[in-house]
Amino acid sequence: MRIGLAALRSGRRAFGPASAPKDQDRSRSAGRRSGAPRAGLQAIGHDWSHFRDVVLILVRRNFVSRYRNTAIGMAWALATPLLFLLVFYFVFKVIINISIDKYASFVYIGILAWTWLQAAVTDGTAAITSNPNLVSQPGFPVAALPIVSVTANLFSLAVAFPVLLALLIVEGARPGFAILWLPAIVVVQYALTLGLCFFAAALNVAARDMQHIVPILLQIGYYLTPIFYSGDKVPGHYRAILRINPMYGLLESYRAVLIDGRIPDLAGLAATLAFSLVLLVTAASYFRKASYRFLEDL
Amino acid sequence: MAEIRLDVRNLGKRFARYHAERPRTLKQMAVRGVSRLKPLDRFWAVRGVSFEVKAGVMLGVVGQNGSGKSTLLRLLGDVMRPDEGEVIRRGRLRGLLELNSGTHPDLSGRENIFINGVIAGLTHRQVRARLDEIIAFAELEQSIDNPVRTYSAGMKLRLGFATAIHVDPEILLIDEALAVGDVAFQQKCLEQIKKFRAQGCAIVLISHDLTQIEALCDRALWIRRGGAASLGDPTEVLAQYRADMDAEAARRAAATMKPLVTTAGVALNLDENRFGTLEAQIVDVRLLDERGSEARAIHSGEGLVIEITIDAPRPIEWPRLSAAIGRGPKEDCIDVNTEADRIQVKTLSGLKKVELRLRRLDLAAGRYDVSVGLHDAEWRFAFDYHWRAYSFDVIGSPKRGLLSPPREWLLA
Repeated sequence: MRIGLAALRSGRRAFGPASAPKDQDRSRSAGRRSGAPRAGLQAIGHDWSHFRDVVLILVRRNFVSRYRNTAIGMAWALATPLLFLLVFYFVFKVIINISIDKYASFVYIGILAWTWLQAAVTDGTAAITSNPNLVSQPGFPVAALPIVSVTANLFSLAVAFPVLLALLIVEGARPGFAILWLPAIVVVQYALTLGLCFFAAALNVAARDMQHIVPILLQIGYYLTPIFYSGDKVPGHYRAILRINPMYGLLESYRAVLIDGRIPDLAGLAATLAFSLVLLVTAASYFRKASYRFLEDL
Repeated sequence: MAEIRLDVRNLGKRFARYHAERPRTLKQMAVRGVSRLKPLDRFWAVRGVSFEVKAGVMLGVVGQNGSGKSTLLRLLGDVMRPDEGEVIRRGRLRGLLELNSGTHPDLSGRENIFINGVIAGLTHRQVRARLDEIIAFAELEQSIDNPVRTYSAGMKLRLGFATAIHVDPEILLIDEALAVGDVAFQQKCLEQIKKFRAQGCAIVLISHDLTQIEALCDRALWIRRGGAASLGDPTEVLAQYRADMDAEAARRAAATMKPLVTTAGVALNLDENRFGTLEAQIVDVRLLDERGSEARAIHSGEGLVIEITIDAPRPIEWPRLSAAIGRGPKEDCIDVNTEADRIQVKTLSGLKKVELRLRRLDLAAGRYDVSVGLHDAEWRFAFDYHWRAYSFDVIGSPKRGLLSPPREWLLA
């Protein structure tokens, strides 16, 4: 993700905050010349730490505002996926009697990973349109907003992680050292989600339809991703089609690492990573170009 | 020679004017046809504007609503990209444009200082280093750890301003929205801005308050229909601007706005005792006693009704109303608003009457002034704010102190 953004850093509107001393900045007519002559490393250092602080403070605001003033507070981050788990377990294990081993862990992993994507993309779609006052603030790095959507929802997920571990142990899964691959898979999903968020956020400014299209796409994605069923049961040629969905491979990787204690399919993971990075770079550059027009449409 | 901090060369920004029913969603596109997607025409909101601001210089920008001032400010702030020309900035750019843009009402004042400070361009560490200074400037030592939703309008304003002003800018953009607030605090903010200038900051101030520009600015720029009508010494530029405004006002005189004279006979003058954008206006305020008749004087312990008539030609969403009663220019005895009282008004349009019923006022005897305000949802600016415009007397209680509660003395 850093690689992708670093390549695009010259766009100050989207990524760079106000400059440090002696940093000269020009914004010329679009198309003829863009970007600014950068000052020394100091300026870049300040830009980065400011960008990071913007993301952190907004993630914190998001998190605190979501759970403060609710009766059970952060427990909501636990309760929501748990409720879904109970329903799925009841419907598919108790009623339909699906033949998947360690089904609670299996479903819970699917729910958590998908909830992250879904919540982040939903928030990300509205990230610009619901924050016009931040977008019009000089020096505010608007690219932070989609990043906040993805990061804040990752934290909600982290709250639920101990429950997942407990579930794995109860069901007799032995994650082992393969769990060290978990951060890598999370990074791939982060890049994928962020790419989607950059696109959705920028598109939604020009056409507010995104707010309606995105939930439909996410709902469809929910059923076409093996969250409560196993990809193995999908007939061969359909499986090839479903595999185009990058979440398909990611879920398999999560389950391999957590339930089976296996190293994930590295070729598949690398392909998903490559896809996600291409998406991220394209989306971020589109976002950067669109960002100068945000205020005209807000 | 002082260094040029802000160098603006032949700046131009063009907007597309769309069909009033421009489809904004795919469905509308299908229903209304794609043809309406194309802009009807394009117009230059700003064009051919050039100026420079040197270190330690304050430039005042004047112009009527819709003349292109805000677009200019956005181009200077690099939140919009010019279609022509360029802006060269040499130094840290900060804006005093919208206060409290990141404020979350459930978080404490302290937490919100961090949020708004970081949004304004500081790092977390820089905010922490200035935290005590900011709290002291805002005069909120007592309530800094309470959630901001418990703050009065004035406290929120002080919090926002104190945070926004502790950003050590080298180029500072200031928008007029800051005109509201009690006079003493305004004075303090102006002092701080003067200090920035003395330290070599280049400042651009956009304001409707011509006296303020005359008093503060070293140079002035008059923007008319997107172009620079005049640039130079404030006295000269403002004289030209005033002459033009008077001519303009004479042209469409009585038709638009009759000068507001309160029922008590006080004239309201913009930027003296009246502030705001006037997009929606408070057209009448009456103070009534318990019997519903005009209250010039009430007995201490009696009630008071403040009846506010609002005219919103275009609907405004989630408006906030505030009312304050004070004695002398500094002290507010009562400062209430609809947000703090958890009254939600979704939209306000047309002519509406609002009553604030104060069941009893146990005030010490004396003359009191009432301020009323109509603000936007986030308290960023006032639509109309009448400061200390309506007065009444309280009689039948001691003059000393502030309150005169119902009481009895018992001798044991």
